[in-house]
Amino acid sequence: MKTANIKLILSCVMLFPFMLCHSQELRDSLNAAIKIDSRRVMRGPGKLQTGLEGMRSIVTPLGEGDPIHWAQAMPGVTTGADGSSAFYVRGGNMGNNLFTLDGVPVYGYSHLLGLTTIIPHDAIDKVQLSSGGFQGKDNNFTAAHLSITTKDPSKEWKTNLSLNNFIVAASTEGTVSDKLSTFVSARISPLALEYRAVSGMLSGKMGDLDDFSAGVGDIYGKVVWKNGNHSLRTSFLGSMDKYGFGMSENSRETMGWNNLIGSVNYNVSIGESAWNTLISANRYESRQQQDKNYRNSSDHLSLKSTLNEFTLTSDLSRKTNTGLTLQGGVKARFAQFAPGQVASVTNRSNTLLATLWGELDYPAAENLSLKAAIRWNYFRNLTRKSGRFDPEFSLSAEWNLSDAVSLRGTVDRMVQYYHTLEGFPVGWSLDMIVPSGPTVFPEGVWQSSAGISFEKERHSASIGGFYKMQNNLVYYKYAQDLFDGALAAWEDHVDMGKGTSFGAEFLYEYTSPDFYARVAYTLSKTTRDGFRIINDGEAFHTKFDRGHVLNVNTEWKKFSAAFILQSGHWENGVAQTYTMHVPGATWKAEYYDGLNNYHMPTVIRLDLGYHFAFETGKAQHDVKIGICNVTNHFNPFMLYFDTDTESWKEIALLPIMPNLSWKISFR
Amino acid sequence: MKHFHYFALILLPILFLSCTREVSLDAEEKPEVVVECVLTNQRPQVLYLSLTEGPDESEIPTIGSAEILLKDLTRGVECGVFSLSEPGKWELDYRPVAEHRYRLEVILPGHELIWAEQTMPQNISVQVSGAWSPSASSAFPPPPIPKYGYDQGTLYNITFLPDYTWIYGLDYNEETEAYTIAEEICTDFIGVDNFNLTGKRYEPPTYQDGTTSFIYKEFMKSCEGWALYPHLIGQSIHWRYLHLQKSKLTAEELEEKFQISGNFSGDYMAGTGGTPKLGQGRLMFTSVSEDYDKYLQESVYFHKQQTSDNLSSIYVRENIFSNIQGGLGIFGAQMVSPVSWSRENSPINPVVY
Repeated sequence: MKTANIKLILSCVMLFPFMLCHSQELRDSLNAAIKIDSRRVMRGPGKLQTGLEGMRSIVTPLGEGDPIHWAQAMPGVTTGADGSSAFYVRGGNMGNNLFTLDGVPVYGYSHLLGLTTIIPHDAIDKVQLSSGGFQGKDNNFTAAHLSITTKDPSKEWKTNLSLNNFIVAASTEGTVSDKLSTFVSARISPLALEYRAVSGMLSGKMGDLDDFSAGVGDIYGKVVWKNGNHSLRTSFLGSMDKYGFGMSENSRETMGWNNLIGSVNYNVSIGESAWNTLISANRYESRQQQDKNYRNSSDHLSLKSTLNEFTLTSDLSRKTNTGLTLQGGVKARFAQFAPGQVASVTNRSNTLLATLWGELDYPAAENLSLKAAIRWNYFRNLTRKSGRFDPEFSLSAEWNLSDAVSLRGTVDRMVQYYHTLEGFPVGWSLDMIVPSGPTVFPEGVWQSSAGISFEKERHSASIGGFYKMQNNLVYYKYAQDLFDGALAAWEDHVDMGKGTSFGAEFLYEYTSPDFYARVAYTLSKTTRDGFRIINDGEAFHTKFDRGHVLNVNTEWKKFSAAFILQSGHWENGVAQTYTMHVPGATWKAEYYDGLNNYHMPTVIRLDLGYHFAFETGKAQHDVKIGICNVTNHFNPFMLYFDTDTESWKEIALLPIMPNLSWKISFR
Repeated sequence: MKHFHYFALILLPILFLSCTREVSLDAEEKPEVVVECVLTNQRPQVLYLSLTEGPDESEIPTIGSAEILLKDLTRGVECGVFSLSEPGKWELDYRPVAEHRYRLEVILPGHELIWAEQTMPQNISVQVSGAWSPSASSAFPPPPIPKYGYDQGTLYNITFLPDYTWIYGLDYNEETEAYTIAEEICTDFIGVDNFNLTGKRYEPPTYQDGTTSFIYKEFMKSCEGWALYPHLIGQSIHWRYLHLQKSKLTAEELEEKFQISGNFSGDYMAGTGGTPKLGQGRLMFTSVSEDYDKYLQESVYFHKQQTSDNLSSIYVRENIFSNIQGGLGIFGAQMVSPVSWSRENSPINPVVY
């Protein structure tokens, strides 16, 4: 009970500034006694938001939650392979999501085989998922914006050490002077060591996996300088994921990705006005290498993709006496793409995306607030010498019918100039990012949503629907082949088509001091059609068109449970065959009746957790233990083609598995 | 500190228990009707009727009864009704007319009408213009042939080339009394399509007479420089078929004489011209309709993909071209001109024109 109280107080302290800052955007009419619960999802038109505790309370294979797994448990979101970091929002592709860290796009955000993200948890202040009614300054995406905001370092020096099944982490933060504070974090995974330790014990139980190696880690630093109304924040994030494994004799596959991100943010506030300028540099690199023996022939493929991006943003905001908030700014991005580098093929393209934007937040009446954002984009592929203008806008409204009931709605027109050739559905950052050009046009989306929200004492519920139409969606013909030399000639193998998605979203939360429950349910249908060379232009399911997605999270005292039930995703069924006759021969021919026509089995997973805390001297210990997939349900993680048996196999990554997360904080 | 023993129990995370299982990926789609009928200038007309087979089906589904009609749209008459000759195979005793348009209709209980239309192409006209070879008994050279001089090998020239032409060789197997297609074929004809190259280049064949063995090229060197099919040496070898497209040829290229050879089984053989007899190897000069040309090209391409050692072939999900409305397969048309390719003509006992 003492621990629970401490957590409540801490939560209160953490949430207090957040509530002040976002009272205009996010409505939470719960009474103060319940409002302090850190687990409750803050809701606004098209937005869901949580703090660090809410994010960490999600039960995951790592023992604690992360921004992606929190987002995956929200309505409107379907996931990729079980346990992975892939997420799909309202029928968009994974590459249609924008993932930002303090406003800087992060392209290779998944970590540790997709089990978590590259953002160190200790650095996170809040996480916000926007799926409609987007902010004026956010652009170059069409589905969702998962925004991570880091916290400023604490005033007192504090050091954290943490350990879970897959990651060992250390961080320290504190104040250097009255104006200067810093935060540093480093994480490394002992995955390869653990593999060596258990591989002998589990000989014969690891399927075809052989000779596994891994090098996984990240480092993050932030320096904050504050002087009156002026503040300067600089940050750095570097991450590395590197894996190697063999799945059959004489075969070895290696893959990896790196992120290098640096940013400088200057902010000045004068009265009700604020000026913010951000300069950032971002390098993302992925590598794949394959040595495989197939039908007595040795295949070797080495593929590398890079993306360098430099961004300058500057924006102003002013709040008037009438409550009207005006915002506006400019943003310029210069990017260097080098996707699918094979042998001497480099595929380099330089692009410029310049955006002028404005936003108006207008309290039209005491119980009605309106927001309108407009963006003018100019995109130029400097290498291919093609350019274009595209306007975008976002509208949202919230009408409070009473203290307990409100109506919310959003309408958006979005454009995206970077395309992701999605090949691997597990959220690994191996998908290739390519720019728009004279033959591959920007992706566009029209979407709308409406819903009703109810909040009364310990209960909070919302239900709504959405409809989305997409065009110029890029489909990569050889999407199933992770290691494909054809990626070097990607423009020859892409097709553009349309997409439609609609569905209903439901979110319910019950909060009491000892018990918390959240039920998120999504009913949706997502299809693609109109592709010239794919499926004869006919409609087909998207790979992760999961009709039903149910996430239930509960906490009772120190116990927690998460239950996931999702319709299976769609795979390409193997061909029917028929006998055909050609001059001098009789062959077996293959016939494919549609794309994504095989429905995989339903995903069911129950995870249980227990957490407790204790102190030893100056150290505060927070421990979470749990069991992932208690029922040991076989949830396929991915399919692969076994070249030895020439058959398709499915692999489940998360059988019943205990997990541990142990965090020690020194003050 | 008492809590640390809890950790000891679970510090050995049961990692990498990832397990695999085979999955059939049978989408259990409804079987499709497959119709294969290629009208030829030889009786009878043959039609194959079948159903596609799911990956997990233990028995091949068959079609027992159907009404199959062939109509001559040019003349506006019904040519006849196909009759079942053996399971899955239907025949009609009819000989189509060049440049006539035909309509095929397949009526199956429980299915919508399955139909297709096709026009018979014109026949190819080929001349076998000459061949010569040295031998122990032939010491006289014939008059030299332009371009080819005194070189040995059968020469062809096409006097009328339809829009789409395929050439392949059939060997006769005396043991099985059946024809088999030659796996490799080669030509120096300029307009041949390279879509089915094997990657090999032509080398003169090796001759073995049981007691002595020698490379034929060496033998030819001894014959004062005369070589068998010298213009084919170094040419690319095609897998089974030579595909000619008229649209890609100039009038001058069309008039060029050319040679054909390959790894036809048995002793080295030479084209002799004329209509082949039963039991004789043959070269099949085949003029085909546009739809059938596309069908053949895609069939050859996808068959090679399926049987290749290229791993990416397992991700190819494209269907072979079909012009059958309401089903799969092909309603094609072809005119075949067989040219004999005699087994008796060996390098040490060649035919001399």
